Amino acid sequence: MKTRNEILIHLGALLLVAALAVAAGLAVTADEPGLGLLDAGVESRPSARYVFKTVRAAPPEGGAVVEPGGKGYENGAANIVTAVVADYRVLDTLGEVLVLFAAASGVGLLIPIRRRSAGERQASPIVRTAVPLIMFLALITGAYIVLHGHLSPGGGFSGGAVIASAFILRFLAGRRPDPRGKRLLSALESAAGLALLTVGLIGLAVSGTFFAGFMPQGTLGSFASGGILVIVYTLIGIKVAAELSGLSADFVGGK
Amino acid sequence: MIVWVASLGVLMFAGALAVLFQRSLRGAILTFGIVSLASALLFVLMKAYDVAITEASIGAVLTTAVFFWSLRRLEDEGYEDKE
Repeated sequence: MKTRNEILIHLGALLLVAALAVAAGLAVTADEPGLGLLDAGVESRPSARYVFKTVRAAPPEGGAVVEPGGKGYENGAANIVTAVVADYRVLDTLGEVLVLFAAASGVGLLIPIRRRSAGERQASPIVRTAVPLIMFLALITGAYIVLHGHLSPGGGFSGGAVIASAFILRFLAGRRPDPRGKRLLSALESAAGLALLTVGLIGLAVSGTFFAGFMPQGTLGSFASGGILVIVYTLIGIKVAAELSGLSADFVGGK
Repeated sequence: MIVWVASLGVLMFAGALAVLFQRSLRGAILTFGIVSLASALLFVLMKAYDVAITEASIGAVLTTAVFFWSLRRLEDEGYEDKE
């Protein structure tokens, strides 16, 4: 039987969903230029500059986008999402990384150490045999997503989460985290965070702006392109992977 | 494409309602994972591949796993999940 509080909570959730639906409908049908989702005035939005200029715009000397092989684009990254996340708005991304760090350390601080319960269930032999194979594939996919964030969809956050999901699979199959691995994870995480700040400070020293690009853009579509983007996103990938793996190790509990 | 988007939307809406009104916590967690997976597919249909990768790995894997581990901790403390 449901208590009155539960019914009230469900009612509140339904009201919230209804309000969101009404707001979405208003946003879609808004008449003012640049506000409605379906109107033609996309050019008048602030985001239009990023959408139309950074990657898909013509190079300084004019002409169409050449990929691969184009040179002289503003940012040099073929993936526009990464260009915004890890270059134009990298300060926001730094804040996001700090939020994730605070969440992970909060979990580590608040969660009690779990005693191993007597009736611990073992995963079936099929799962235990398949997990190393799947983990191998997930690690390779994650590394690819992290390293090619400036060329194809993905990047540090998503690739780091894929790498962490490999470790999560391992924990789900019954493996216990060992304390040495956890220490290594936190050392890796701290090193990546410090290196990320150092990249920002190098930009500050070179051209007077925090996280300014101090490396050549390279050729659009090749691996060595996008300036500091590859470095920034690789460091974020290491940090996110270490953080999420450490968080799940905290949840699984010690010996 | 609109048919796929609409059917995924209906699936997600039904899944979200099922999460709210399910008796078993274990089943609710699994349904929540299915909703996450459907939203990742929806992002793929809308050509937002970056978001789709993140949603599939964080929403469908990490969140589900964390919920399951929390449930196991609750069961260690004596909580009994309804079937």
